Amino acid sequence: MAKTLTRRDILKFTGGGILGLMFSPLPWKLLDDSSIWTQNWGLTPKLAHGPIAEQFSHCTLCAGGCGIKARTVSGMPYSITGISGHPISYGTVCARGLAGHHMAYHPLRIVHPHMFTGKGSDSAMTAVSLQSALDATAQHIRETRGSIAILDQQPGRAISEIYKEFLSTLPNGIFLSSPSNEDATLLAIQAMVHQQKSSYGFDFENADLILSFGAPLFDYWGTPGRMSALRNAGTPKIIQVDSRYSRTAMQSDEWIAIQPGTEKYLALGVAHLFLTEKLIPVRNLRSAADFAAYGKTVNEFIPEKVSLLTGIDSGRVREIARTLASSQRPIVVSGADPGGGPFDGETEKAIAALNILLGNVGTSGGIVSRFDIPGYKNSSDPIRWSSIPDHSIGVLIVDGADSGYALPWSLVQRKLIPNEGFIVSLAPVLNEISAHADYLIPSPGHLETLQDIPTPTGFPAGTFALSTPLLKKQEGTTDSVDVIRELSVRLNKQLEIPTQEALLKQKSAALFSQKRGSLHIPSDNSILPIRDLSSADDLWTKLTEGAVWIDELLKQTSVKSFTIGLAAVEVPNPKQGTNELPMIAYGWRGATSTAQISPIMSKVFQETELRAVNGTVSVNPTTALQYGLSKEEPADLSTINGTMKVRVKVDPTVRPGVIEASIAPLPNGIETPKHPAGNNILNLCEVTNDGTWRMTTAKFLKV
Amino acid sequence: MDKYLIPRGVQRTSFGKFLLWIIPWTGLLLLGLYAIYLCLAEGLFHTNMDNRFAFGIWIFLDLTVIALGAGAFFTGFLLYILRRKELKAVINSAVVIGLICYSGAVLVLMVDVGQPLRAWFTFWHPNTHSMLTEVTFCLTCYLIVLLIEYVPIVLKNRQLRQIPKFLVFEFELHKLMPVLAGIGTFLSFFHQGSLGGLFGVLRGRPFAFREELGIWPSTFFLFVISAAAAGPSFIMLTTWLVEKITRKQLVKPEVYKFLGKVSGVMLISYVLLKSVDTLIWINSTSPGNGFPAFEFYATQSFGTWILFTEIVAFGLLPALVLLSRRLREQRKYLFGAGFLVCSGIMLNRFVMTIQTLALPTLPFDDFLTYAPSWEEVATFLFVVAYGMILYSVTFRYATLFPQEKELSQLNGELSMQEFARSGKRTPPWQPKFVTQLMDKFASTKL
Amino acid sequence: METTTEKKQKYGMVIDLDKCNGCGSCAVACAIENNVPPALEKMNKRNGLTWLNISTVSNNEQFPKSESVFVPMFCQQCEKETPCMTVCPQNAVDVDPTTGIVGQVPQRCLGCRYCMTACPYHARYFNWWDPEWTEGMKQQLNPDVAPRMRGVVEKCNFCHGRLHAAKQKAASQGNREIDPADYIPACVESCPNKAITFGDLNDESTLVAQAAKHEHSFRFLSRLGTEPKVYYHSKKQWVRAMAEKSLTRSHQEEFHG
Repeated sequence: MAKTLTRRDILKFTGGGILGLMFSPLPWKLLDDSSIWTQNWGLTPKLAHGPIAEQFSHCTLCAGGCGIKARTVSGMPYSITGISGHPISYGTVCARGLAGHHMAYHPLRIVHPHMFTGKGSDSAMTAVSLQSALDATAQHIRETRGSIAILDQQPGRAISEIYKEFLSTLPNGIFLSSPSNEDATLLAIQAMVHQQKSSYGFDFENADLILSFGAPLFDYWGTPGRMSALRNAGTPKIIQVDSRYSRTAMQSDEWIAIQPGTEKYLALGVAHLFLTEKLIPVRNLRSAADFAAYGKTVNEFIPEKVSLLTGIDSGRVREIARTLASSQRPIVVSGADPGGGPFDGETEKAIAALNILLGNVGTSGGIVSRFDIPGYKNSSDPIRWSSIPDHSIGVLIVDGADSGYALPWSLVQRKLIPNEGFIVSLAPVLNEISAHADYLIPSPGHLETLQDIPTPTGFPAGTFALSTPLLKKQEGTTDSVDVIRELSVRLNKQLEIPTQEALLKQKSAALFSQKRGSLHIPSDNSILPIRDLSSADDLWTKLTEGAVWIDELLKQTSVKSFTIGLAAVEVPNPKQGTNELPMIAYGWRGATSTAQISPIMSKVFQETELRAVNGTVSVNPTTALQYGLSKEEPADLSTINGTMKVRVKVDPTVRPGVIEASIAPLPNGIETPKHPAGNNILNLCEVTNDGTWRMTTAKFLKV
Repeated sequence: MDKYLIPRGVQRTSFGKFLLWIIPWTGLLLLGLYAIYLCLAEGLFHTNMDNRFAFGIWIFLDLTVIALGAGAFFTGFLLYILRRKELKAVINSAVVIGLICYSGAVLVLMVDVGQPLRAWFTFWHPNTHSMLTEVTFCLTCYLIVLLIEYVPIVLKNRQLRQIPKFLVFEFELHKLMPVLAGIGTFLSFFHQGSLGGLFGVLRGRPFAFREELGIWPSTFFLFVISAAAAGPSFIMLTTWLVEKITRKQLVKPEVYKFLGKVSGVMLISYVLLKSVDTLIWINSTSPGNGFPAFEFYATQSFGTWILFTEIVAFGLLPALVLLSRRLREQRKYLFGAGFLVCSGIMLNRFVMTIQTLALPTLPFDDFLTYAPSWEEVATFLFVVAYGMILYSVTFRYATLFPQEKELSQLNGELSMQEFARSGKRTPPWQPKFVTQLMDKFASTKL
Repeated sequence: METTTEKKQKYGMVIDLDKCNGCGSCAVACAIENNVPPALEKMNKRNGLTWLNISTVSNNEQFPKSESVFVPMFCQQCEKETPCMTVCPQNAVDVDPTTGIVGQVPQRCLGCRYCMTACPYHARYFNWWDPEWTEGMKQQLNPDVAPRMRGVVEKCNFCHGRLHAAKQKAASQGNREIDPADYIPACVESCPNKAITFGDLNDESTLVAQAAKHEHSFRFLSRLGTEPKVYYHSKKQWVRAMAEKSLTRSHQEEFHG
């Protein structure tokens, strides 16, 4: 008997079915599964498995020479820390170095030669063969009417010698390094010394007082670990003369707030007091061959005048001079700001000269000479960019190493022949300068290839180490030394250029033959004198395992003859229009937008603003009130180079009437990597003929 | 077209006009659905909430609608437990509104949490110390209660009640109503309270933290009482709104006045207790935690005016109005006060959520502000739209207001008499069949 | 589940604010150790993931008397009625009685963010986005720490992965107690100035226990009664006074420095 199916039946069936299902395991299993799905979400990465090991190497991200210990899983580093007991870095790695292993996989990593068509942020990259890139470069070198320059921002490495050798075969080759130098004072003194030049270092460890003119000693200068250890030891005493309340000013024993741009007047004023109050022995002054001219130069800088110019009380100026002179082992230091760049030449000379007056060159606790491996300079004799004629460079090859200091594109651009200047960048990661290049021939990245680590900036004794690769070298990248060899072949230069490994083995062998110093062995924190090594190969093996060679402090001979070379110093009349304010650029070494940093460093920038992000200016509350600025709204900042929207930070530590401009990386963009040639406040800075950009006149435009 | 579904004896607009009414709400619903999809599929970054404002407009509005939807339990309590028969006129509407409020709140909560698939973890790994566990359990149970209370309203639909099983089911269920009402009251008491307790136990937020009575902070009780005050006012306002939209009289005036009185009584007790609590907080609790109370009001936008507004302008004032028999007679005062009550409760919830989070705790914190994103607003409009649609459909096809039938007949006659007396040309609005009937009679000689 | 051990440890820290120079190494080391993803373009300081968050605090004086101090802030490991633990509806916050460490169970977290409203130190962070790394960086994640997906809360747990590794090492060597040198959180390890001291506050002989008792050591929001296990230390009077100062700034201070 067939029964017709009614709606009621269907409803009953459905209802009963649902009820029945509740008693089956299905819904409960699905619920349980849902919790498992949410833990094994497709987008969550699967973690690596494998043996955990430790490997030692050294960091190449700047010239600091820090030893690193990498924890690896199946050979891939996942964590970097310092090496305890390391004689240079004291177990410390800076924030950049901690994330150094990320650079291999940076969103803007380049792993194949490319050609750029177009310029700036509209440029397009096309992959090309290595051969065609080399051919094009060689052709430009052959045909250019301008000079050929190689920019090496970490001079002192073995490759630097190769660059110099190559350039010497060209009619007008120029070896360039970063316009900013951490060891500016040392280089200035080197230039002043008459006798045989060896490279110099600062014997901070034995000094009792450091007078620093704006050098970021406690904020990533030289080797951070070394400076931290000094800080923790409590000696030497640090007096920081700084136009900003920088982190070094914060950590120093005394901060002297100086009107920006007037450092040289303070230095000259101190020298004046040295001479007029006879605070220093006369023989120190006489050690300068041009002491009469120098004496004349400093004569006009009486404390009252200095006080007017610098904003520092004249009593304080006297105090500084007296403290300095009465110290047993004082050192006077200046240096570039990573974002703001170098001081002008006069300032550097004025500051360096104080060391001469204090007689600390070639003395323990002062400026000490150190050992250089024969045949290798520990630092170059850098050419001041101001001495290069504008529009004279025809070909510029930019080495991949980074100084950590800003390099404004406009400074590079003005030295290039307009429309003809040809740039090849060897950088492994796309950055502000390589974004303007014509060709990219990327070298292997940090920890991907063997590198040598020369004596770090300011270190008082010679050192040498290797950066052993911890990562696989990526196909398509080319060691810089191979690039030079290929170019020299194309240009028919008879140069014997070894491979990277051979090059470094040579240097290591040269070191071994000196039979001096000792190795620090990281795996067991032990010291092994070189004399106890059997052969150069033995040294090489230990170096590749992460050891660092360190010399003893050289016995010093006080240097007694110099030429200071500081002619009459003019005090310009300040000419500032209404509403114009001095803008000071500043930055943090390694994170000034010229180079790249690991995306994880957004923890310091974007996600906390611990460091001011790109495009942020800071002003004093009174300045903010005066110009109607607030942190709520962006403002239009205008300089001679253009206008830009900036964020305003109201900060009571900023000097009233001054703008502090943060030179920082562009915000993170993993999902949409930003073309680095974006608008950057560094481009607003005015680059003077002196090759400096620390101070720019700026104003806020009213809406 | 759907006449067979419409209850007998009442008038409803044409199906076409009804659709015209529903369509814009459906549009809003779809927009909200898209916003919900974005939040669920891509992430909660679509909202403007952040690590400081971990709770935003959703939680604030959730708390508000739950407080306003308290009319459901309180009306049920008054009707079935305290036997106040006047409220029979609005109990159905209250239940539907309660259902909308609670189901909407739960829906928004499911979008608000980062892992809605793990919602059942609270039942599996409950934390007996947490107020939120209590809220989850109670809300879930109460939602079920509301659904069960909603069922008879639907089953009474003239087509459905023709099914004998449904009729019997509905009848039996109706016998259980007092029990359900009792359970509902019990559950509501606890979850309304726990929602207040959520903030009152926050030792880390001295602005919200209150002393305890037993294990419950004073905000527990304050929230219950304020919800009991808000509920009747909200019922009053929504009924009035429905009357306005449908252009019918749905309840007798006494009902409104009764609701207003209940609201007033609860509100005055609330204001009293709240004042005592605030004084204790100002003088003892807050300073004891290292935070002088008036410093909380020193920051911009949240001055002491907010405290004054909450307790006096939106609290004491409408309470006094609602307690005055004379003032309750006048509709503008009655509804005006009701509106102020609801605003006051909304302000209170805002203060407990948004203001609490805006205020700094660490000495170097900034005072931060928050404004919702369009996705957050759209999600909430989804609930509004869903509520409108559900209510409209239920109103159309079920008897939400038992007094409607009686009143419509009364009003039909009254308005006809008035029209005749006034001599106006256009008759007051009346359903078409009435006009036809009248024409028929007019033309028929008796 | 912990098996019983003889003694209960109470891990804590003392942070010397005079030594902290705001370099951010600790924040970077923390993110690398715990597989915290880097920021996406839309992230800012209000919705990022910074288990270790360093604030710059000034003394509100005028230039040049104005001074700043850097304050690293992270989970203070509250001991008494741990606010986040008591409020989590599904017991996703686990306070280990043998170490005192307040742990987070991201696999159980509902993402309701109630714990975030409960925490007065703003130490908890929500994954508003799914994490993203480049393909290469994904291979460099710490194998000891599970990455989290969006919709869950995370926070500092004193590098629990390292504690776990230290316990495994001790167990494999047949020891009941871990060697303190094996358990050093990433931030402690990476600080160039050695500003963070870490260890067992219950052990009188440790540096951290002694430093915590120093007259210049203090805790934030101590009057709330949460009994945090992270102490701060400064010789400067204004810094200590700042920590005790109650909240809120006036409009004047807020907008004009």
